[in-house]
Amino acid sequence: MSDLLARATEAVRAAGDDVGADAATALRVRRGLESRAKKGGVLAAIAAALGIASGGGVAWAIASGRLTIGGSHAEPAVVAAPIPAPAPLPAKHAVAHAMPSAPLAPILDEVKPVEPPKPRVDRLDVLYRHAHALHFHGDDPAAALAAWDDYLRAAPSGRFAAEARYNRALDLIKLGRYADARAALAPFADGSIAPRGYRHDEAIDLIDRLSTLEAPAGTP
Amino acid sequence: MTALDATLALAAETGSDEADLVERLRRGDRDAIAQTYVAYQVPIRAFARRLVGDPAAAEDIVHDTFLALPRAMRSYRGESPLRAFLIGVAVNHSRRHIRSAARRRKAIERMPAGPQAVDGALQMEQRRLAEKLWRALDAIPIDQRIAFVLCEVEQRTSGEAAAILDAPEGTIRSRVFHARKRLRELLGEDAR
Repeated sequence: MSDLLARATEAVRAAGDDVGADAATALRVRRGLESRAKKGGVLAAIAAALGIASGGGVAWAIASGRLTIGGSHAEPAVVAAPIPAPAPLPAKHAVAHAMPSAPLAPILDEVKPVEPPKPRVDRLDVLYRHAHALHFHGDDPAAALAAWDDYLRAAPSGRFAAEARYNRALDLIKLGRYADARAALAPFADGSIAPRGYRHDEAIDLIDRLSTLEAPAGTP
Repeated sequence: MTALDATLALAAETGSDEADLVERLRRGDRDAIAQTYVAYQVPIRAFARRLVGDPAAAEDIVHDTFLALPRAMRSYRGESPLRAFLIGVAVNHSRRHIRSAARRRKAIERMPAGPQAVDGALQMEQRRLAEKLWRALDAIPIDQRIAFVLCEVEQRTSGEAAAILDAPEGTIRSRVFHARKRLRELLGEDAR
């Protein structure tokens, strides 16, 4: 690269090194998501979320509440949750990016807090959440495994079947059931599971490592 | 570390926080978008700023990226890290902002007082050089520009850029090659 091009490239790189958080954009993102949710017909949830934000007294802090995008079951339910206030910006950013909170207050006041809607209870969702909680936040892999099996029995081709199968394999490893884990990981490694390629490399790596382990006595 | 420990560590790693976050994003879980915004806004903003050279347009790209995230997650298959996927979403939303930033730059150039739209963040010489390169980038095809920023400015490998842009690695290398060639010419012309 020519010297001038190299120096100019370095200068452009430095321009990106200099960015921080931006409260105004956080607010715009939140309002954009809320606007889409309004179109989906769940104004009540947004209003509840905004009510929380107003109570917090920080105009651009992102409030929590359940927002459904598009109103369709196929669409993911999106939630505007609290986006913490960014760390104070260096003085050099202050002028360019400062977002006064006062002008935003009327925007928030326009929406009156209402009773949030009761969440729709979906059996598969409950099963998945239960398994997910046990897997990621519990310390009993046997319970997590049983929960994943419950979910997969109920939804063998469900939206989260691939994730459930993969996490189930991880629980088998934790339980020392290496042969079962290898079998569970095989479809990921050979790419036969949908979506194709999901956890492919990790599965190959895990199978490779598992092959070096001896199965504990009493396991197949 | 025993083999079992290593395996468990790997298992824990592959079922890590990011995997958890991705699953929650796919489900539209409560805090997932906020968490993603907090975790990834700075690298997305840095990329956008380098790409367009205009703070306002960069913020628009950040905004569009996170607004598009719920829908974009449908196409995320977990083959690349979430951060790379988000950069890809940002790229997909950057084209019109690149054009509008270029138009703004041109308009500012025509002003008698010269470039004014600066945020004081860069030293004079660096800013002059950066502006010069952004003007040159305005004159090359957008695909070449994006490849150049990813590979030369952000110093990603052509493999990483290929994953972000969902394009063959050879194509990325070719775009960077042609971008460099043209930019050298443009900067040379500019210096004369």
